[in-house]
Amino acid sequence: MRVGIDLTRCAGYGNCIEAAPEVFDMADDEDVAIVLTENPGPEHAEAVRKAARVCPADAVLIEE
Amino acid sequence: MTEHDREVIACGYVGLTAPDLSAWRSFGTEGLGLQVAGDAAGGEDALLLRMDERAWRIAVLPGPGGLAFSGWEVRDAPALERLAERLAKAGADPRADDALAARRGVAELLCCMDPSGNQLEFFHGARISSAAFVSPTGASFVTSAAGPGDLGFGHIVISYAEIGSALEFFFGTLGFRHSDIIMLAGDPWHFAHVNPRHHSLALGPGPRSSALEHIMLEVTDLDVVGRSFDYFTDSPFALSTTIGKHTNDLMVSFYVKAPGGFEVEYGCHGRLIDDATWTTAMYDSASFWGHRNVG
Repeated sequence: MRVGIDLTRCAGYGNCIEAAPEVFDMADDEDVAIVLTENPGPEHAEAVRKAARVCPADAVLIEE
Repeated sequence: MTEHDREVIACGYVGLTAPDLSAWRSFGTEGLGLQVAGDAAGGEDALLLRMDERAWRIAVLPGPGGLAFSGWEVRDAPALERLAERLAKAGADPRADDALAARRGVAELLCCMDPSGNQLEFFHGARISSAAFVSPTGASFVTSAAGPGDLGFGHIVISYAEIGSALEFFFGTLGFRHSDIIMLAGDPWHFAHVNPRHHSLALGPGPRSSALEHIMLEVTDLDVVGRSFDYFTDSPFALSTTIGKHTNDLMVSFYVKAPGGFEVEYGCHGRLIDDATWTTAMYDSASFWGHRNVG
């Protein structure tokens, strides 16, 4: 699984971080999310899919 | 700009955020008469609500209580193509997004930001549900009319710190038409239509970057408005105003605070605009009577 954030859409809601804290975090200098692990293991797959579902801006990109 | 360049014909759907989806579910169904979309009923991740034959019109996602996105409808694929060209020319960077189209249940979709960073989605081919719409309160929503056709889900009112660029974008680039202006506390609020509904969008100045003020849902029957007002009076949800009648769109309505943020206007008997005869006007008050603040 490959994970990314569409920074043109990310509005800094932080829902992805709540859903998958080991994969996403907030950027230090900007109110947007960043990806900590671009290729998270299968143990994170469900949390990452939830992160995509709960993003109000649909900014979480997943390639399965 | 010619009629050919006015691709947007309705505000087809809206995405909202709320901190407590189960509270919004009660608010939306028992209070507003919306129906939870069957295929999303089990999920706690998002709430999809129906108000007519469409699979959904309102999405509520976890968040602070505001606007997540708005979905603006065009007639068909060529219209979306023309709009994409014009948005690109205006520097709005529209992007076709098939994955997002699938998620929204539409045939084709473009995504871009307005000048203040609000997510706009332009689409055609909304999914129609095979199951009948059944309102839990017996509400019948005004989303289309026999003559005028599609009127969209209702309307959205947004405040902008940078109102000038927003006005240029919606009236200039997108070709929304001016309905009228209401002066509120010395500031003009601009009402815009894209179909005969008096306004699908209103814009005014605000102190913050950009914020959703309210969304409006229109039903066919004053009794449904009155019963909803009674429901909210007796419920833990907070009414914002009494029932009143607006000056510009003549709607009889009240305002209630949605759980988490912004307000919902719930009304009936809004007027329709005939562009062949319409003349813009200016009002110094939003209401002929009522709409008194409560709480």
